[in-house]
Amino acid sequence: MRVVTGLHGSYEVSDDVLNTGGVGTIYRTTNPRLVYKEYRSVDKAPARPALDRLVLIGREIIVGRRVRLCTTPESSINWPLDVVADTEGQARGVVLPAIPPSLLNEFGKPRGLEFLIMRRAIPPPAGLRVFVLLRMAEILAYLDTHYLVHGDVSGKNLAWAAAPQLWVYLIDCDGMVGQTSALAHGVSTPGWTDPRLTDRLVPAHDHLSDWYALALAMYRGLLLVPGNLHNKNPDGTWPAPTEIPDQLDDRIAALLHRALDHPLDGPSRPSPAEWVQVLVDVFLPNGNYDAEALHQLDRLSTDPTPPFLPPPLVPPGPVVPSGAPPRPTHPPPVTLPPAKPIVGWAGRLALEGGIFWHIGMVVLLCGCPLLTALYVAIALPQVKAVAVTVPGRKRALISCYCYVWLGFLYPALMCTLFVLLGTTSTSP
Amino acid sequence: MPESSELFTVFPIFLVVDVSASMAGGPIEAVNRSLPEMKAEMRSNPTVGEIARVALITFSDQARTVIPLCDLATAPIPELPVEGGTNFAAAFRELRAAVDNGMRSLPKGTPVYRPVAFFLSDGEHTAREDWGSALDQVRDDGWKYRPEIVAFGFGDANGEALRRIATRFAFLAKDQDPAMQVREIMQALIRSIRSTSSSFRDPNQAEGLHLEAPSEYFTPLPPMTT
Repeated sequence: MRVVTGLHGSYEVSDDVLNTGGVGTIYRTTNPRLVYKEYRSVDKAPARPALDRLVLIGREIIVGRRVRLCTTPESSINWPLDVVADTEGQARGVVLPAIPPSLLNEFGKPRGLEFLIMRRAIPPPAGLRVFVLLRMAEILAYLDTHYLVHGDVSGKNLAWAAAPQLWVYLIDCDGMVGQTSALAHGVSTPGWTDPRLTDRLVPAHDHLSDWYALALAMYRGLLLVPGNLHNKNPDGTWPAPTEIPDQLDDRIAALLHRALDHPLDGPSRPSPAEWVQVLVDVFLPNGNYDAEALHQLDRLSTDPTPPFLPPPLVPPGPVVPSGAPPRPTHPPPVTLPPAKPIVGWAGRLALEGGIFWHIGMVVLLCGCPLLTALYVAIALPQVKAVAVTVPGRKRALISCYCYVWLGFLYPALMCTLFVLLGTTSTSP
Repeated sequence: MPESSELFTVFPIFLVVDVSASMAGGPIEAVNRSLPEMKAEMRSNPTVGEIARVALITFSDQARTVIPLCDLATAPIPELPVEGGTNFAAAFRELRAAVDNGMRSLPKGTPVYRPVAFFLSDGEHTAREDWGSALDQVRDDGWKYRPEIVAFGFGDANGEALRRIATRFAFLAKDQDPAMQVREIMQALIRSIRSTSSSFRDPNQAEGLHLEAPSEYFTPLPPMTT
C-alpha cells in the first residue's frame, strides 16, 4: 500500500494490479470507485495541459454536477479525475473512475464492443445493438462539442452492459487530446486503424479517425458482418464494403457508403451527430423504439451461414472435438426505454412541466420579462445536455428559445409602444 | 450464400507437445492446466478467437492429433496422459499430416496465413529411426503448407536439436523447476497467439509473428545456418 497525492486529494493505492498495458499499469485504490493508472515512464504520459483539461471537464461532470456514471453521454466517458505529477510537474499517473462491475464479463475484462458486433460472441438482438451504437455516437458527438479526439476507438475501448441497466462506457480516455493538437504519433488498434494513418496521410489518429471507427462499428454492429476492410485490393486501393444490403434503410446506407467507400477521404465521413440524427430518425421516429424497424434490422443481420468454421475432420486418435457449435439465436427485439434524463431543476421543469411550464413562463413574462430570459438561460443548457433520445427534448428546446427571445423582445416592444403612445398624445 | 470477402485472415497454429514419460508430474500437469486457459483466451477475446485456429499434436513413441485444427473456443479439451519414449520422427510425420488435413478442412475461400508450429520438448529423440528425413518433409520448400516452426525446450532438451528443428526461433527455458518451465512456455504461447492474432499482420513476415518469450525466463538460441 502506498499513498499518491494529486491536485485534488490523496489516494491509497494497493499493490493489486488490475491491468497492465503498454502505456501503464492500473492499480486498485482503497476507494472501490477509483483506480490509479501509473504511466510506465514520463514519455508515455499524456501532455500535462491536455490531461488537466480532461480532469477539469471530468470533475465538473462527475464531481461538480454529480451525474451518475453512464446515465448521460458525458457521464459515459471514463474521464480522469485527478493527476499525480512529479516535482517537475510532469504527469506520473492519473486517478480514474473504476469500471463498474456490471461492465465486466465473466472473464473479468470489460465487455467490449467486440461482444456486440462479432457473430462468434453471440451478440444481442437489434434493439440492444442500436441502443449501444446510438449511445456510442452520442458519446463521440459530445467529444466533438468539446473538440476532443479519443484517438483509439476500437472493439475493446467501448464497454457495454445490458443488465442490470443498459450502460455504455468509453474507456482509455486519459490520452484524449484537442482536435487542433497536432500529434506526431499515437496509438491505434489493428482492425480499427484509420486507412489514412496506414497510408501515412496523417501522422496520428485525429477526430476523423474516431468518425471512421464509429462508421466501422455501425457497419459491423448493425449488420453483424465480418467487416474486415483492412486488406487492400491487389491494385493497392482500399476495399469498399460489399455487404450493405439493398433493404437497409437508405439513410443508414448513405452514411455507411460516405464513410467507408473512400476511406482516405476523411472530411466526407459522417460526423457522430449525423449518426445520432439518422439512428433516431430510423429507429426512434416518435421518441420510442420502432419495433418494425428493429425487426427489419434483425432480419437483415441474421446470416444463414454458421458463425464459426465447420467442425474439423475427424482424425484418428482417442479424442476428437464435438460437432458444430450451435448457431447464435436471436431473441425477438425488445423495446428499450429511452435514457432517463439527469438534469437540473430548471431544465427538468422545461422537459416535464407540460402546461404548467408554459403558464409559469407566461405569468413570469408579464410580470418580469427579463427574469424570464434569465431563467430560461439557465434551463436551456440543461435541456441541451440531455440525450437526443429523451422524449420532449425537442419541444422543450423550442419553447426555451421562444421564451428567451420573448423575454428580451417583450420589454423592447412595450418601450416602443409607450414611446409611440407618448408621441401621439403629445402631438398637437 | 457466397463466402464473405470481408472475412478475417485465419492464423493456423499447431502445438506439438512432448508427452513422454519424463513429462510425468508437474510438467504434464502444467500443460493440462494451460490448455483450458488457451481456450478461455479464445472465448474472452473474440478477435483472437476469430483469427486463431489451433491444433494439438502429442508425441512420445507415437504421435497423434489430439485436437485437429479448429476454433479452440468450441473444442473440448482433453486431459493429456504421459506415455513412453520420445520419437521426433513420429511427431514430424503427424505434424505434416495434421497440417495437410487442417488446412484442407478450412472452408473454401478462407483467407489464411502460412501456419506456425510450436514444438515443445523436454528431451532428446530416443527412437532408433532417424528423424532428419521426417523433419525435412515438414520443412520441404515445395510443400505449399510448409509451416514456420518455433521450438521451445526445457528440462533435458538438446539445444542443438531445437536449433535444427526451428525455422525461425528456438528458446530454452531458464527456470530450474520443469513444471515452472512448462508453465512459462505455455504462457508465452498464449501471449504470442494473442499478440500475433491481434496484430492483423502476416505471421510469416518479418515482424508479423510476435513471440512473447521474455528474456528472464528464456534463452534464445541462435538460428542454425545450414
